[in-house]
Amino acid sequence: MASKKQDAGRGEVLLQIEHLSVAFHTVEGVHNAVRDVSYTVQKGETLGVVGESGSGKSVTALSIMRLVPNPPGETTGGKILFDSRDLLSLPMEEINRIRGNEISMIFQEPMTSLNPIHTCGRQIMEPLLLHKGCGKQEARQRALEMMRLVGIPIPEQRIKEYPHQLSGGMRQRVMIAMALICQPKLLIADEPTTALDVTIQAQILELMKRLKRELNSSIIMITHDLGVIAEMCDRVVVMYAGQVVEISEIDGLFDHPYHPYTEGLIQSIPTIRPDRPKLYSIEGTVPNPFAMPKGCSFAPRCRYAKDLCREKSPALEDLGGGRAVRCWCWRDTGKRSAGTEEGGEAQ
Amino acid sequence: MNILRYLGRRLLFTVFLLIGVSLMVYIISYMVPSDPVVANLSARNIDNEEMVQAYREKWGLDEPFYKQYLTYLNNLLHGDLGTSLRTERAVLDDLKLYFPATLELSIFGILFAVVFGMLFGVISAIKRNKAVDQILRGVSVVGVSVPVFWMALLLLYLLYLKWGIFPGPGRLSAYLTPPAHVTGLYTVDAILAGDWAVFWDALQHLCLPGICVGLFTMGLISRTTRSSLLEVLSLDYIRTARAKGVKEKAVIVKHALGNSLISVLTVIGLGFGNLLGGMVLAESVFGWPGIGQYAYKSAQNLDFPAIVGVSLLIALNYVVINMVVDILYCVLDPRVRYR
Repeated sequence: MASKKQDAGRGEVLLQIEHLSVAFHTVEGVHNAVRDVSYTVQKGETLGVVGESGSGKSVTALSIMRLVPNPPGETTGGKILFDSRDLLSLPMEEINRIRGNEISMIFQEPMTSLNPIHTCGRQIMEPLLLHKGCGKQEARQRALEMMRLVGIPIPEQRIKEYPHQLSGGMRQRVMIAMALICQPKLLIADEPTTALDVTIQAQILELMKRLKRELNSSIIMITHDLGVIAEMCDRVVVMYAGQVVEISEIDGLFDHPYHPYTEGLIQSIPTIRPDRPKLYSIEGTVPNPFAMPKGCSFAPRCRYAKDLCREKSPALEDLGGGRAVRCWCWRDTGKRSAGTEEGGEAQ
Repeated sequence: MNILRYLGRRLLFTVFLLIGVSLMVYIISYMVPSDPVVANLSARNIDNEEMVQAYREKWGLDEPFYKQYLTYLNNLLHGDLGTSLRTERAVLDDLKLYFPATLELSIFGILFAVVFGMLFGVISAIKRNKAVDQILRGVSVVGVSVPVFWMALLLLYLLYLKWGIFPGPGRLSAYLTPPAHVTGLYTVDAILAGDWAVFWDALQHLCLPGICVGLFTMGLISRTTRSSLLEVLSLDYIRTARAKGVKEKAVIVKHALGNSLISVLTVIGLGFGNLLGGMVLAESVFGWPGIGQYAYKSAQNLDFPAIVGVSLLIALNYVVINMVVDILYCVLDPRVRYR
């Protein structure tokens, strides 16, 4: 399997997802939201998980936290090893000790992710009171410190305020303070900047980078924005239709994407270069989850697709050097990307 | 400070509201095609021209409508609700006599409704679509849909007559003397007098009628709690709470329940208002000397001053309850601010 610990050579593995599958039972049928997903997170690294809506990146993250709503969701297979414990088979009391303490999560919507009837202070202090056995006074002090650290001005005032009294950016800072107050080993950030203004986005990303250095946590950064990935991450996992389609170090990915989907994603980043006047978009849409194509899930949208792609689903192939790709024709893509920028020979 | 100013304005508004209510009731009772003389004088006296005239003059029934109303309004502003045609006592005294019985029963009923309604609602929400949920939802439907008089008879027959678990009709057993009148609520007055035997007896007498009148509201509260809690439990900040490692019980009690209470509170307020409006059927079956019975008898006798008095009291109840509910919204939800 790709991206085993030695591959990247960065050090110890903190989290290892092995062959995870998650299905949702709906009225229309069974939706396999996550299909045989495997990736690792190393200590101290920022791993980007990128893909469009419905690619399974958030469901994978929620599975790590055991937050997939059941019913309708159900983990149908796999393991998630965190510090050599399988999170999927731990009893709930054990999971509750890990949540917010060793693994924290920041969500996309700061407007709705905070409890409207609790003060910000109470919400930031709660993990400390739960996990660290702090007294109220000590928790308050540490909450104030944390609020200062994440750049909330006049924390003594803000600690008494309710979420509706804060702006979106401030609320996301409160979320970050809350997530980091127990100094977790792993922080999962699920589209932390998507709901924010561009200027605030940059501030929050800058803040997360700084905090990661200071607190030495690992981060899983889930996003559909390759700009965020380029800004933040050491390694990238690209997901499509519930599967991992490519794993790569950040540099290699942008220079030589091997999977046609990754290539399309990179090409569709808006630029102001005069020789690329038109915004590129990958044709077609994500396949209907209840009617997955027979072969490769991406084949219907792929400009390099051959008969083999439409017949048989490719496996995730380990290319060495921390790289893996799920494609029959990655050599073509690789060659083409390395050669010319604009593809022309395909199909 | 904002809330005080808000309440001041609400109180001022209440005065106008009560004047409006009195006018409405006055007009309606004036337009009823029936004569209070016929209703109140015996058949023999009706033929007696002098008696009829004397009665009309005594109660000012010959005056034009607006004059009658203005006199009434003037008296009302001086705290005089007039004299009941039927009991020949001041209406205010009658209300003081009958309302505490209704108030006590309503408080007991609403407490029963809130405690069990919310308990059932929360359990239903947690055990959604499981057998417990189905049973509790069935209980709510029964509470909401079974007629009060039938439930009253059933409770009396089973729990009093057949099994003797609770005492029968009335506010107190015949061998006990009511406690000295302070609030008019027997349980409270008994505590004030330190008479525990009377307190216990009064409390037992409250049980059957209290359950009977509270069942409807309990059903409503239980259904509202269930749906509101389920809605809140699906929101983002509940996921945040779980992601922090908050245990499931604490997620419900500390994070979800407070938020879902906001909509339940409205139902509780309305339910309490309905109870205070008098429960004619339940009061009749349980021999409860409350405002419902008083209103019913007044209406039968076309006792206009009493009818208007009861209407004003009921309107006032709603105004006060709404105000309390508004203040509680403010306490429960920091986003609510009154200007």
